[in-house]
Amino acid sequence: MRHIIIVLLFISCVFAAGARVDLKYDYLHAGIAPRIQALGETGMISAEGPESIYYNPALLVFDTDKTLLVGMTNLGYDQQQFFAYYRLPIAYRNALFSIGLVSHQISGIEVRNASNAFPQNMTASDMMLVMGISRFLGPRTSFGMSLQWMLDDYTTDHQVGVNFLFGLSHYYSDKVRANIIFRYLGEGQMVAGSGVRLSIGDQLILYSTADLFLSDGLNQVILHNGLAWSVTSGFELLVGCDGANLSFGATQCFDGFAIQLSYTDTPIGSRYSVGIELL
Amino acid sequence: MLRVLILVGIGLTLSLAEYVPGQVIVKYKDTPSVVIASSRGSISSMNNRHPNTPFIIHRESSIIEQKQSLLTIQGSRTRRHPFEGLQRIEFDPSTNIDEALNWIRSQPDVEYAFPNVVMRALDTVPNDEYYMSNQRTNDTAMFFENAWDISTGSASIIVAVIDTGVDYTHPDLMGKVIKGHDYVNNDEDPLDDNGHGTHVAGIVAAIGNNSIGVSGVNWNCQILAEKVLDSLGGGNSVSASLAIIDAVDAGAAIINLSLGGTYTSGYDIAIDYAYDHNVVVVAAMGNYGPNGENRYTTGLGTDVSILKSSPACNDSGLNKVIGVANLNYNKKKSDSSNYSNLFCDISAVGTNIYSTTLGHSYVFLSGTSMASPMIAGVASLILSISPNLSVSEVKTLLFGGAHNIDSFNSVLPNGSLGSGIVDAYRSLFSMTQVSTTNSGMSQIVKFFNYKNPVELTQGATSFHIETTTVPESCSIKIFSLSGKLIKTFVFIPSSWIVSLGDDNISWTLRDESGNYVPTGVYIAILDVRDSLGHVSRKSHKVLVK
Repeated sequence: MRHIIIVLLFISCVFAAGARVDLKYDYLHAGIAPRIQALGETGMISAEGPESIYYNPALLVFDTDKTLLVGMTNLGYDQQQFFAYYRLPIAYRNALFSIGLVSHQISGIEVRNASNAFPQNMTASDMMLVMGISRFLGPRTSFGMSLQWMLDDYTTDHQVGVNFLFGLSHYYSDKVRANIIFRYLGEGQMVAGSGVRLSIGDQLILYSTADLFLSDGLNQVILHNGLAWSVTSGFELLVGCDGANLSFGATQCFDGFAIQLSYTDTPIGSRYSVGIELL
Repeated sequence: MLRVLILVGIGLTLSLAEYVPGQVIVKYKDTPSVVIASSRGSISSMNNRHPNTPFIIHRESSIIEQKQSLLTIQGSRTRRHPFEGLQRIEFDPSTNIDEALNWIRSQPDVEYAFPNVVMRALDTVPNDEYYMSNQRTNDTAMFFENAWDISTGSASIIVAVIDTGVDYTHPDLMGKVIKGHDYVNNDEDPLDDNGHGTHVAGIVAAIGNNSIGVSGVNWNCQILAEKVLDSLGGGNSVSASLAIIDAVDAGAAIINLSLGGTYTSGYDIAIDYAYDHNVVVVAAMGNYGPNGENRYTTGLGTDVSILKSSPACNDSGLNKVIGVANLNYNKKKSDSSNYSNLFCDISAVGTNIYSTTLGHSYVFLSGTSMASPMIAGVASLILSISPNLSVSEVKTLLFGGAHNIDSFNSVLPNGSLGSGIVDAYRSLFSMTQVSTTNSGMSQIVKFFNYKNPVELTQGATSFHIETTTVPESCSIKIFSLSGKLIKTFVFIPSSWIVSLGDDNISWTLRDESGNYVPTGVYIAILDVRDSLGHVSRKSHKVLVK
């Protein structure tokens, strides 16, 4: 099993040399969970809670004390995103199940048919329902898969998208974890990704991922990197880099819940996100 | 008393909403008796009080700064100036004054604040004999009196009236008619024998403020009379086309076509010729169909997108002709007026219009024939101020000043009356806000794309840009919502307007690698650099579906 994973990781890295992250459902890359945003959108390897079903469902079996995450992201340009994820164990081969809902809307879009036409304003919205399942394949390896339904109210045929995601996660040691994912976006578009989590000392964790767009390659590589610093046992400072976007954030655990905050600086402005996680 | 005056001023401002750009007057609750002012702001300036002010403040000073300085030097004060303690805050000129005012008024240390309102002389009302009784209601609907405060026209502008000729002996037109060709009698004496052309000419250019008759939109411009219609109002498209070319060659800046008929592509060559020579062509949308379609059925006029019975439909889809619909003074489309969301560009009051006619007399007439010269007249006022404007620039000023009237005409599809009813004042006033040169600071006035939303199957969308002066350079960067750069355009505009037909910036919905982008919302960011090195920025959302 270990060798299979190594081979898959190698293939994924080779592909990553000439690809970039996809633009389809682009908004989903900008605000699914505050902690992930702060870590430079490295969710494929850094997700810890029920939101793992979007990034890498194989991670669902870890950190099982985190059951619910709700929050919102202000993406700027009159757009907001609301999200909620819930995780629960199911009585079949120790599997874990999670479900999530992401709602996104953007207002203030000027509708014009001609340069001399008087504009009307419209609002466009999208929604994603995601559910997934995960279980351990062995003492160090987990597997998960999820299914996402996306729909919008603005494309010509009110596009309904179906998105499949498969993930594998493997612990090499207490210090090193490696993941791979494969996502099918529909219409022949696919994304593969790989990621590594390295613990540096007792307080620092480095997350690095690469996304690979397998169809309509755009000849641009986007790497994601994040660094988490456990300042105390309940307080974590986060910093990340997602292409040209720089992000910062923090998580603070309290008795029974945690708060996640993030701020991201992008070439088109800033966005911020806040979330509450039940422990 | 001062507070009362201020409140009255605020009330006037709310109704007029015309401010000195970038200026607000503020009174703090704790203003010291003497305010030390400087270009960096006083010790009690807004910047110092609120370091996180969400607006760029270039300067803050007392509005009685000079007198205060004098009193301080003299070391004595004999009386307190009523405006003492009032500060003039000067924002970046692009600042939205209403937003700035709302923010300032919400600050706990501000007693009150108000904008610096633009003042001007009262509206210019001509003394023509029939103006008050027969013209004023219609003219005020299009804000002519306000526009005449800015300009009553120039004699150097020639408006060609291609019609039944013009009675050049009419006292309200005498001395300002240039004789063109008479294509009916094939001579050089285009004397009107119907009255229609004289009526049109009077709407454009009847001498204003001469105590007699009526006042034209442009009091001073010249009329080039080209006779292509006979005494019964009949003619042919070949004559009209030849007259258009004649008018261009004779130096006309504007051509008015209050005529129509069954669609023919015969106009195309002449209209292209006029457009290529930077001559504004204005055409009536027509009344009912060419054969009276819908006259007795719907009473709603005709959508000329189908019949194409107006020369406004001969612009090859490039909007080379300004199509004009006819309104009542209450902004509702006249029952007879044709319309089109493809070819109608703007509307004007053309119902019960009192103007010159044969026999040195005056008469009421209605129709798009009367609405069209209203627009030709406003265009001539625009060119009287800036004769070198391009056709696109004139159209931008006309359309940009117009008021949308779709809500007054809900029975029609939106956009059927173009940009709406012309507002001569707004069109002329906006000229005072822009410069056709590349000197001075260039602020972005408008930035958008059309069509928006754009479908992938349509293949492309165009950007429209208006700035206050001609920029040194522009760039448009298109980003995805998550901040990924998709496409970059860098260009040097030749005008303060960039739109289809001039410096056309068209996005083919592809990224730099030539791949189509997925459906979704994209952020277009425009950066405009002026000759002073300033960069102004504006964003716009492009929806690809």
